[in-house]
Amino acid sequence: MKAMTYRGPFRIRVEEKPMPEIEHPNDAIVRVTRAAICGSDIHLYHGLVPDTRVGHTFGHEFTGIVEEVGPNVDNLKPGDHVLVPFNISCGTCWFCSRELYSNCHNTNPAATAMGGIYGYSHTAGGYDGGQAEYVRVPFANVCPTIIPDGISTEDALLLTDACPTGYQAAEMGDIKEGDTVVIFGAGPVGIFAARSAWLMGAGRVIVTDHLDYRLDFVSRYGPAETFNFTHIDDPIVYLKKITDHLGADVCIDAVGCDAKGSMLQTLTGLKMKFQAGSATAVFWAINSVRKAGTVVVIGAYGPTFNLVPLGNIVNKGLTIRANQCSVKRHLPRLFEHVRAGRIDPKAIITHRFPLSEIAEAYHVFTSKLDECIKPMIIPAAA
Amino acid sequence: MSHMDERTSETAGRYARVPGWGADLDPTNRPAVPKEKPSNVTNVRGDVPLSRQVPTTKIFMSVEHPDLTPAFGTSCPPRGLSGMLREYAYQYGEGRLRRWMTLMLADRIDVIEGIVDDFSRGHVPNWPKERGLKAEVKYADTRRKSRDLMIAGAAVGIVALVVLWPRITRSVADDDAEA
Repeated sequence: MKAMTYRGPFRIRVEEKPMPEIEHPNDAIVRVTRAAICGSDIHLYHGLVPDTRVGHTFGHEFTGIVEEVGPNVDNLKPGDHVLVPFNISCGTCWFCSRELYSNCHNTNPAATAMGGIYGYSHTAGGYDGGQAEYVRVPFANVCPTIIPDGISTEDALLLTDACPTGYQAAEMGDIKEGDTVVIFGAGPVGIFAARSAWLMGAGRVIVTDHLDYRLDFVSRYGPAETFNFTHIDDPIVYLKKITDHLGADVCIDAVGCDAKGSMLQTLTGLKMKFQAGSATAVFWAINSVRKAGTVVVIGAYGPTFNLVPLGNIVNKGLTIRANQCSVKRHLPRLFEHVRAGRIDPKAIITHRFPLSEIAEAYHVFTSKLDECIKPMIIPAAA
Repeated sequence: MSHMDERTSETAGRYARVPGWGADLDPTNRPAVPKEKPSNVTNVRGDVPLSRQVPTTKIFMSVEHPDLTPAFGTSCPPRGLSGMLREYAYQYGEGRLRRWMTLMLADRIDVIEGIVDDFSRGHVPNWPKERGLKAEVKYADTRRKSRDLMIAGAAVGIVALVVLWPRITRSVADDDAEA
């Protein structure tokens, strides 16, 4: 089968790889119908995630048709069209039993801090991902979900990660009626966080980024007030001024470790790798939220450490909420929102590439060419 | 009409431009409420016995796990010097910097091993293709293309200077000798 393979930072190619096999009685083999490139794939692509091995296939956002199931899989059968959440979850451990699927303790031998994730390095379990024609899906009884009536394949694709992640970000903010919510990052997750903040009753939604075309998009899709932080001397002071000098009630970091905006963070986090990526977004979030406010971190960071203003967290009495999204928990409610037209996930897909051109897709996405927001990959076997 | 319903109807008009405003204002509509679901599972590993995947290749395991997890990925078995470094790194706990920095070093060595492996199999990596540079030609705007051309021109100039430098210095020396 054909699959995207990592060759080194900024280098990927499509290669022939062996067909995945059932390696555990709870496995399924899925033929990928659609895959997407996620903003967090960029961290892998840039070589920022430890234990990313040459030959690894990325891709944790995909839909597909079940081709084969292991003897213990009883709720899926060959021919079912499923969306596959990015979490690999056993469904039985302390965490899964509390619907904390992203924290599963039984699917990632390499690290206890995170559960297994498709195509996200050996630090996340060493599972090949869905930017391929076929993929092995462990514990297929738990997270993979048959795409229900009224949900298109492209909507389903966005429900595997970006949309529920944005939704969970807003939910973790414990938004109260009329709250001012500031979102750092107008990528797919930030866009969905803005939309979700309104569903939870926000009174104001403000989004900042350095890309005008993304700010234009979210200003319509959210809708949201927007500002380009590169046009402003100090984004924190600006946010204080537009929030009665108190700060926002909730600040959401929807960027993660590739954040721009601070030379120090970029130099030490991205160029020299002295910290686990650039922590600019979370730094700004902590400093621009009001006292006793809530900061939500949903952007991805590496496993070591980052420069963040801990003193301000204490002095301001902040609540910090963070987690990888537990996708399956959100799916029933998100299906309702999509059917009711309250969220339109597929509207953020701007580019479609065949799997054979995935290197170009990564280049367009990472270099922000052609006003790209979300590229979708279509394997030939789809 | 509940207090929540009254407040929602009062403010719904204010946010009429936002489709679905307040649909999840009631916390009970939010999937994570209550934040911690009740569970009778008391063991972190769960009380449901799970079948265990049989390793067919070397799988590194965090020392913070008591044993190999029931399922794991088998994407890329460790190899060469990078594999030895990974084995060294996994001796240390997840809070230790040397674990992660050694893995980063192993990743960089793995890239070199990958290039050597390519050539040893007679495959010459097509780096412009692997970097997706065709998209640069197709999608970059004029300003970005001008920048690309300047970088490419500077690179060609530097390479030409390095290649021609011996000839230039020899020519200058010959001229000096003739003078």
